Amino acid sequence: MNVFTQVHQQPATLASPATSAERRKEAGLLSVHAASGHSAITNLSELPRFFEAGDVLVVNNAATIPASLSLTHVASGTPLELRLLTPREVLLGESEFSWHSWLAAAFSQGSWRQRTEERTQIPLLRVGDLFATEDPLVQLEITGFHNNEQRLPEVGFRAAEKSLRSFLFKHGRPIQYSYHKNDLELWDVQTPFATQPVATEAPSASFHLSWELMFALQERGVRIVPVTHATGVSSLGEPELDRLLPVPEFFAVGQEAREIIVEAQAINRQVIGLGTGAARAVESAFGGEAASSGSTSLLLSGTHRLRGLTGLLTGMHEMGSSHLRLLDAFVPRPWLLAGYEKAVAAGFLWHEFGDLCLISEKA
Amino acid sequence: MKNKGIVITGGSAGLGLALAKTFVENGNHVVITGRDPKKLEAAASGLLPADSNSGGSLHTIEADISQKASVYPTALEAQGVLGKVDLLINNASSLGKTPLPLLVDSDCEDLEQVLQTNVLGPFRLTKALLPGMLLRKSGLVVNMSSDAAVSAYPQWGHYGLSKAALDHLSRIWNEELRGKGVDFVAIDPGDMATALQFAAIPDRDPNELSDPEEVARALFRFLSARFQNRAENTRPQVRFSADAWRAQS
Repeated sequence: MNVFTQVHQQPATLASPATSAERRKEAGLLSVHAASGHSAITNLSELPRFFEAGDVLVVNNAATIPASLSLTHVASGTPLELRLLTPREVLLGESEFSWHSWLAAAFSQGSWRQRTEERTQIPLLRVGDLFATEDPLVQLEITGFHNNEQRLPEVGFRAAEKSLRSFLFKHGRPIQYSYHKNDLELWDVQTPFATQPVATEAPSASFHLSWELMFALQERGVRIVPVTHATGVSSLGEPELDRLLPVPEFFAVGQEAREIIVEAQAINRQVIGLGTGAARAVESAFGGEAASSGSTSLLLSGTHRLRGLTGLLTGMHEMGSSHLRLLDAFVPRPWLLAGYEKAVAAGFLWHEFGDLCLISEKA
Repeated sequence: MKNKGIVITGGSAGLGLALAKTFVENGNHVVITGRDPKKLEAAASGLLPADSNSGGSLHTIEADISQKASVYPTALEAQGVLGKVDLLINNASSLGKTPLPLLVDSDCEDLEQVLQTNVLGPFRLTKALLPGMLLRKSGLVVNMSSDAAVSAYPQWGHYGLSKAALDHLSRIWNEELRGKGVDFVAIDPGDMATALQFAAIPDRDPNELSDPEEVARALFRFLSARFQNRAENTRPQVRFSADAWRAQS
């Protein structure tokens, strides 16, 4: 039975993003025991009983920037949407997060209510072409193309640092999901941990978490540790381009976070990543070079041996997606799928605002 | 207090500007918000020479704190500029309509506007900046209050009730987050020679009023001590009258 073809088809429309309180109330939790494969359905409010004193929950403190820009391609006079994907320096493997130069994806203007698959027709773009913005002080110039793909221009902002910042935060909009009925506002795409404005799409696994739940975990002696991963766009609507995702993304794991994780490892405690971004950050930082911040293109999969984490708390991942392959690093695929079948039966939701899955040695 | 990230709303004039100046002079990194870009620019250029030796810095963000659509981008931009926010000073205030009307003559739309600026704005901005403070287990949120929050001054109704709500908001934040490393205070700075004061009482004798720069220096001492002791968590007192905080500064 292929239940997953049903579940990963998203509903045509979803009511406006629920308030965080509503989202939390409804969140389901699938727990999958990483060593035995035992799985069970419960509620997210039960999360603390999967933890004990000394365990660590690593959260992604990336805040989501308004990365969707409405622009006019000056040469053709065509309105376009550019979605910022990652800073060019990060794409080139450098360690600084800079705002001036970005890899972007171009979409025909249309409405974001249309699926991105229907918005792939864009005018011919050339290096040196300019995009005009709503702010006369801010222009963008095409400086190159990623992988020679027309739809993936590298753009440089022609603006002073200050006007660029204020332009982005004043005129940018959060990237939208076509299955939402209402516009997502900037506050809809922030998690309870949103601190560093570097993500272009929200680290969505954290949407359901609350500080009430964090305090309950802390009371059990669990340490909540922030790291940063600039979660990026997960789909561009064309399989050809989606093969290039994820592009290298910025990450940072501070000294204190590293020390807490090392301490937990030393006393054989769990280190659970909240979301795939937190997982990529920790696993990148605990790699061979042990860089504490920079650009990561690490892709977790069945062949990856975990170096920092012991488990993962994440959303429900679609079949065939690279996100699902990522879970192979944490649990054998058949055990995960057995759990997923239970989740389907329980009516779990499979999208950015959907339910959660905990894979751990104590699940 | 040195090398801290600080956000001050309503920072282009009056006490907000004086606080920004004091914090920058003491080597801190300050973001001020204000609605008028020209006033912000003037504030920034006026402060630059003074901070050159302190290691402090000043940044401006144009924002109307009464608007939800303005608060969240401001919080993100401020965190981007400062790296971390240690201290938030909710200083922007609206007096409401002037000359100050009796409640019976006032419009509920005016009250809504005052509450948006004086209560919802500070609530939203605090909420947007708390994640970083809670994750670092370190932060201080200062809500600027008034004696009108305690005394029922006729004609100060909208302002007074908004400040009473802000005081109580501070107490509840403090109760809920006790022991989490984040501290809250509501402070009546006292009557100062500011635009707000003269808008309320045009014929007020300036000699009876404090100089905002002097108040800012005294508040800097009080807030530095409060920030230093934020983790102690022996803080039954959240709201401070002008006399009470002065006695400790």
